[in-house]
Amino acid sequence: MTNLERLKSVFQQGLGITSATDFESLEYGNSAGWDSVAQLALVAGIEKTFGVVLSPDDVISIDSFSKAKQVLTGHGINWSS
Amino acid sequence: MILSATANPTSPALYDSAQRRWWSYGELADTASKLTESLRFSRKALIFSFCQNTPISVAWYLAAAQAKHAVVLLSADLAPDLRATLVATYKPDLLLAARDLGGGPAANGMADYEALPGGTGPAYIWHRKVEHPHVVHPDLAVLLSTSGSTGSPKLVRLSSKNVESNAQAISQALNINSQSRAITSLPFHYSYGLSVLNTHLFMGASLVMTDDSLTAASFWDLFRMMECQSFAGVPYSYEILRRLDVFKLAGPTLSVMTQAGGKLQRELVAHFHRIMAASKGLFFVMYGQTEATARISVLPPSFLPEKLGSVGVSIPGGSLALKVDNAITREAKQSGELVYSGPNVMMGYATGPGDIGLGDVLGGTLYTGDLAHFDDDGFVYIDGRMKRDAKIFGLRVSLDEIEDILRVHGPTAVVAHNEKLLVYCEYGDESEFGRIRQELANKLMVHHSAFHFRRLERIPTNSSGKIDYAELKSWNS
Repeated sequence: MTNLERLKSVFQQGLGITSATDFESLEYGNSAGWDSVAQLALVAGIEKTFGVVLSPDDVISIDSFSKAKQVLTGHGINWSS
Repeated sequence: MILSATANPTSPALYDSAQRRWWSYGELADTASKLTESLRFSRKALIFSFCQNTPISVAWYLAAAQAKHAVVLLSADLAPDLRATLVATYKPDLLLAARDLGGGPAANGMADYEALPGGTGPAYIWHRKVEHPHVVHPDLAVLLSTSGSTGSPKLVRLSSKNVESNAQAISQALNINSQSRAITSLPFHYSYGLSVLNTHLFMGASLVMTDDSLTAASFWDLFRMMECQSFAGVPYSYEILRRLDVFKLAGPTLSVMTQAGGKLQRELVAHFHRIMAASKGLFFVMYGQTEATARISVLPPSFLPEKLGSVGVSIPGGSLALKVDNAITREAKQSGELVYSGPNVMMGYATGPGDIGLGDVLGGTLYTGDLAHFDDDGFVYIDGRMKRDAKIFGLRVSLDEIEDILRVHGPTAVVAHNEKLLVYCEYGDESEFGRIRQELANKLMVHHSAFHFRRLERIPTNSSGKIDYAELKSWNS
């Protein structure tokens, strides 16, 4: 699995969505089911899957799929493999 | 009913985050009065109000109270089919909303209703084309759902006395005054969120209204900008806050945090008490149920960390005792059913339109369905739930209902443990559990992470052949 696929899987789990989704368009406020409970699930999923510890600033800033990628890039995650 | 009679009309009451301005007490009262005009009816009416965290939605609630009708508070986001079931069951005379309820009329149970013209601003009202001859009890004021999500028709019946007395007692317990300022961290169709609204309006305080959740930066931007001083949360709110830098987000004006809506684990109570105390703030643990309007007990922060794990003592005006072997007692260290008496105990339940005419059937005493004990100082500790329901992410779910839903797959037993639902199945594998998990999440409107599946050869039963829940619970303690 590539890192991108792993992140998509975390979002599927966290938001309870199927794989046939435009992940890049997912953002809090525009996506059904993205409430605070889902946020906690996303945070836990990201940490577990990528072996990182998200800071408080990270947690509050992840409000879209692309933002999640950005935050993980900051933690040294590579998207090309 | 709940609007402070002494608040200065120019004082801020509710912040409208869509319009980016404050509604004063004067404007809120005037708007409610205008809306009351639309609620004229030949008799006391049964009204459904579909609520959102906006001042207009609050104005509808106040208008219904002013018109002395009985109003059922529901979420404007209630799934259309659940809405249809409730409407079909209760046949309310009027429907109120702060936005158009959308969808085709048939899809959401609106076929029996027609829109009335007018209303003020984004205020919508529908009346039933063919009136159901409701007999509404003179004392009935507010009705609240207990399940929140499954569209179960069971409602709690509250009188004005229930609402006012609880607002008064909670305000006293939390020292809410006209300078207090909260934010809608919870929806007001839910008893806890409603009590935040009611206490603040009662005391002439102010409330910032937003639909943003506490994981959104915009929620905290608003909190800081409006200099809110209190935050109310359920256990999972504090799970989330544990991951955030609370004071950085909330700013220096945060001085009170309250927790209700379930049992918060001790480590988190200790943590939030510590951080609030460090900044001279207060962390209040509270306990309550919709059946007691909202709150039953409070743990004064000065008793932390000494009484860690306790839900405190009764709010002013009420009293707590235990039912142990058919006797009522206040003796320490015995476990029994917690019994609460007070002016905020509901009149009773309603499961259909015939119950709307019922009066007070409980006489001010509520058997809470929680197991508890007192310590030597009379402080209450909740030991467990006697009934077959649980609080998950702040919402009440019925464990038996979940079993009923899953029984089609095979023998199933569901117990709750630490805000998780443990689903024991004599069937299934990981991929089946994955499907069932999603099915339950959609049906109950609870995030799928709440469900934990365990495959068993045989679900333990007792000598009468019934599921041995005690045995299952003992596996997890």
